[in-house]
Amino acid sequence: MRPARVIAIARRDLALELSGRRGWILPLILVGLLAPTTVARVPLPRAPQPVSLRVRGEVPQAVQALEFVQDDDRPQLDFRRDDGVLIVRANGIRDDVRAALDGEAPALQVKRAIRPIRLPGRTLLFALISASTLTGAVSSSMAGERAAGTLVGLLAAAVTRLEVVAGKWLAWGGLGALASVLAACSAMAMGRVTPGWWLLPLPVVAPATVALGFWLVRRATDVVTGTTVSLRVLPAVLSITGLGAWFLGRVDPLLGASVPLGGALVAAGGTWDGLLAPLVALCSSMALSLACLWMTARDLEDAPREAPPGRTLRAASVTTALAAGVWWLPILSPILWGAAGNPTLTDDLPRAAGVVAGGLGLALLALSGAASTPSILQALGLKRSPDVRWIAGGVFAGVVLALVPVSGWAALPVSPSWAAVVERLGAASGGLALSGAGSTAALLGQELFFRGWVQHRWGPLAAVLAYVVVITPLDPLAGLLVGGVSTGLVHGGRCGVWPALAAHATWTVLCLL
Amino acid sequence: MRRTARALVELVAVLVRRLLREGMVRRSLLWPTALTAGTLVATLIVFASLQATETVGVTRAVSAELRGVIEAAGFEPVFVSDAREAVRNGTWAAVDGQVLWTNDRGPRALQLEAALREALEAPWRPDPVVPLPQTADAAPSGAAVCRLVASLFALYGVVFGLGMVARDRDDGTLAAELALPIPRWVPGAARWIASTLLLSSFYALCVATFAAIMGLPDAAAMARHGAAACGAATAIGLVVVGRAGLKQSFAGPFATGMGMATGLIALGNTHPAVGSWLPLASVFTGGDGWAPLAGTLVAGALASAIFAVRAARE
Amino acid sequence: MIVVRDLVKRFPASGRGTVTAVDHLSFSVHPGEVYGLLGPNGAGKTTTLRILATLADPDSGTVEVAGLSRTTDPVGIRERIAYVPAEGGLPQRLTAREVVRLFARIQGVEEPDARADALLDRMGALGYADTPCGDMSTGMKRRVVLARALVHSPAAMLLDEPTDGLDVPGRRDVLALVREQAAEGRAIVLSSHIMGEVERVVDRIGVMARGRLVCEGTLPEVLAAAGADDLDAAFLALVGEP
Repeated sequence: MRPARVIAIARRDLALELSGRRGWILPLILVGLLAPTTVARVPLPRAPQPVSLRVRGEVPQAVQALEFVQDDDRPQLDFRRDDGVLIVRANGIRDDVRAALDGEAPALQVKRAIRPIRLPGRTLLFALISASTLTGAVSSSMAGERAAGTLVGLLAAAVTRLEVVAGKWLAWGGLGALASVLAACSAMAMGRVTPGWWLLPLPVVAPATVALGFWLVRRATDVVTGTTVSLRVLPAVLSITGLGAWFLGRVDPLLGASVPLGGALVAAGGTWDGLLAPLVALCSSMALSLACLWMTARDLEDAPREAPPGRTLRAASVTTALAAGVWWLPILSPILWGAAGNPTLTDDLPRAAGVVAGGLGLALLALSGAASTPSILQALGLKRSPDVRWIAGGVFAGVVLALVPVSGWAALPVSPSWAAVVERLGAASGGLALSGAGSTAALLGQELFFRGWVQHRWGPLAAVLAYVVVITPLDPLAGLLVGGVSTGLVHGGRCGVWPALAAHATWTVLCLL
Repeated sequence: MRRTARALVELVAVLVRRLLREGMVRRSLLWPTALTAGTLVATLIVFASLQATETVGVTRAVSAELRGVIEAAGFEPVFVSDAREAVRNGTWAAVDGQVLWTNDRGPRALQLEAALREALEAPWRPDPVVPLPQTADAAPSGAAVCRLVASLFALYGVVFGLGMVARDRDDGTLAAELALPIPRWVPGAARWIASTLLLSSFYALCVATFAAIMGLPDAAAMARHGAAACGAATAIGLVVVGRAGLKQSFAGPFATGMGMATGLIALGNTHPAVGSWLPLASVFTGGDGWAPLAGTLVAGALASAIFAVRAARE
Repeated sequence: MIVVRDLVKRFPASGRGTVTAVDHLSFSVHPGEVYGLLGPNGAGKTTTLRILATLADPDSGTVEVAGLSRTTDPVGIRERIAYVPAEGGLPQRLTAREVVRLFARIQGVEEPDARADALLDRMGALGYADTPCGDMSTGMKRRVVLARALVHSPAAMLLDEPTDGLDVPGRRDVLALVREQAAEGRAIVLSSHIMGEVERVVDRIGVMARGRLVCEGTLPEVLAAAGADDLDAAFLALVGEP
């Protein structure tokens, strides 16, 4: 590693972004966001306001004597006597009420053992703002340069890849570190914050975020992709590692500080006293930075290629699994409320909404897959014009399917815990107990995905099997019948997905009627 | 006129296809919904598995009789050396002789307290009410998640609007489109429509998913607010890109666009009465979403017009 | 076919006030003629082509293509020209067939799919019709760009550095295609800084330096005006390089 070359690359990167008529915008945004955070005075916390207490029934004198107690028909505390014992019906009892009820000699004492919570201070914002503002620069420095064809010049120059990555990191990580340190110095000069060991990890947050960002976008070939990736992942990583570090820090500050990135972020907020925790935070984030830089340099190429979309069994299986997740998640998840202790929500949540989400998800999945083909409409089976004879055949098939009891869900011997699953999947696949919106979404989503995309890509057999696995896993015979008929209509008619749509629409309408 | 309409449709279709062919863009569009819904489902699974056992710390000072009472109340007693320290370190409740240490103030703690007081023959005891949240209680939380996701999609909108122009300017695609015999606003409008359509569709998936698994007060209004935010953010991206390309000055316009989008969202948060009328600002306010949706159409038209003027002046 | 009169274009430059990219430029190109716009980097060739393609507005001067003024009927001009930027302008994720079909549909060509395939075939790129443009070689990309440019049978073509980055066979093929198009009656303006290819393909040459047209004429006329034996020497003498 030759420092002169690293610095030269860093200067080049900064010059590319910060020169010209628009070069001042990024520094201005940094200043604009950091200045108010630095200057603003933190308002003093207000004294807690007294809260009234609504009571009813045989309210003891000691409780009546408390401040802000009022009789009310919608009580928070409902007092009654049962065999001489005072029963307090409540959702929660305040400690002052409990003390009043207990008197001098309580039979049971209820005590609290709360570990004091120390939240990060405003100095955390200096690190956070500096790091987040550089999201665009990170993407443009790596993906943007690749797309613009300027990265190849760097890679072909007499510098190692590690020097290229280190130079870029020095430019943007350095800018972020400088901004956060300047903000901290200004705040200290104005007496808004006091100096402390938090200054130690403060300058490493932005460089660590930049290093992680480089690693995330190392294969991105254009700036839209790169920025979208850094935009979705970096805030999540900062939040998750920050929260993780804070929670772990409540057990032991050193444990929290050892979380890369999050530890430095929380330590920069002055959350932990002493030198050791900020020092560990600094080291863990620097280690993350170095690891990311090394991995980025290892993978850095001028034109990385994405693997071509597979036509294999594995690709079909992954697609089917994804479709199952998209379909089952909104339809079956409400059951979990009941399992977690709230059956009311499971009963209340509208089933049709799950089918709308599932249908929309399948349609978007089909669209995403079809986008990789030369013609989206053809891949979805919508390109060919409908053939009236086959449409009529589809309607006839729909009538037959509606008359045949294809859904044998209720007859299946299942345990009670599976009954809800069976019932919900059955309702969703059969179009029963659903609204018009749910049926329409299911109709479009299923036909575009199974009879459109899967059949176009992997053939009719795969379409039938995928339909059975995703839509009717607990009633495979019904799935084979419905899926087989619909797939046969599309395969035989050679006029796109229209006959299957007609069959499904007819069948759904008859079921709803 | 016919050619213009045809060009608009063709360009939108091609831009949607180009975006969807990016694996990372596809993953980004699914990520917010998958992350939020997945986290909720995972939490529910954890809660469901924890329903079976609720452990309560007990010291050696607690008699076997009292331990039996705790067990009979549906809790599992586990020995701890120091009840106070156990609660400080995260145990929800621990009993030491006639002292109940707990930081929990809800029905579960009252249930344990009631059992203990009854066993200790106290003159009073609580009778906990266990209120189960209804859909109306859970729906605001669902709406809060959807609003957060809408904010993220809005930021994507800025990236899409800005990035599509900067990228296509650098590789000459934009010049080739602008040299076509169509009005100058068409390439700009096509980019706005493509981005808004794509983002709104995937946001609608998020809204439908949360309507299904948590409930929403008004899913359609939520979808309208989100679509308005996506459109307005894309318009901001198209406007702030200026003449920047990828080779130079991308980060500045990007930060400006992000600042404008988050500023509008913050405006809605601080001034809901104003925010409910404006796209992006309406994400965190109430309302039926029609006014912001109309506003986003105006923003799209303005962005396309600015794009056309700028394209002509290059 | 193409008439340029007294064209001026200035750009603001940071720290240097304004830079005159095109300085009172005038020339004309007839149907079936290949006009070579020569000049060193920064001479104003690309800016001139962008003004002709109506992508940039001049500060003064007039441009006419097929009798249409760029001021009054820019869309009409764009209907009659094909502009090929130096960067190519091929989206990485679209296939060759998709790109050419898109332009054929927007231009309102009849049977756009068949026209696209026919042009790709003619340019020798049909074998790569379903390959994403990002995966193609530079030479193949040039062929696709030319197919895209010809999709609406333009009366005039504006080619900015059409052989930039091509190998010898690729350059030969592209120049042969340019001559073919001229033979079909199209007026072609071709910018380049490679003397060899200009000698082979153009009918008349305009040498630009610092935005001005410093010499214009057929190859012998340019050589005579520069007092040089070959075009390289003439070019260096005309643009003021030692």
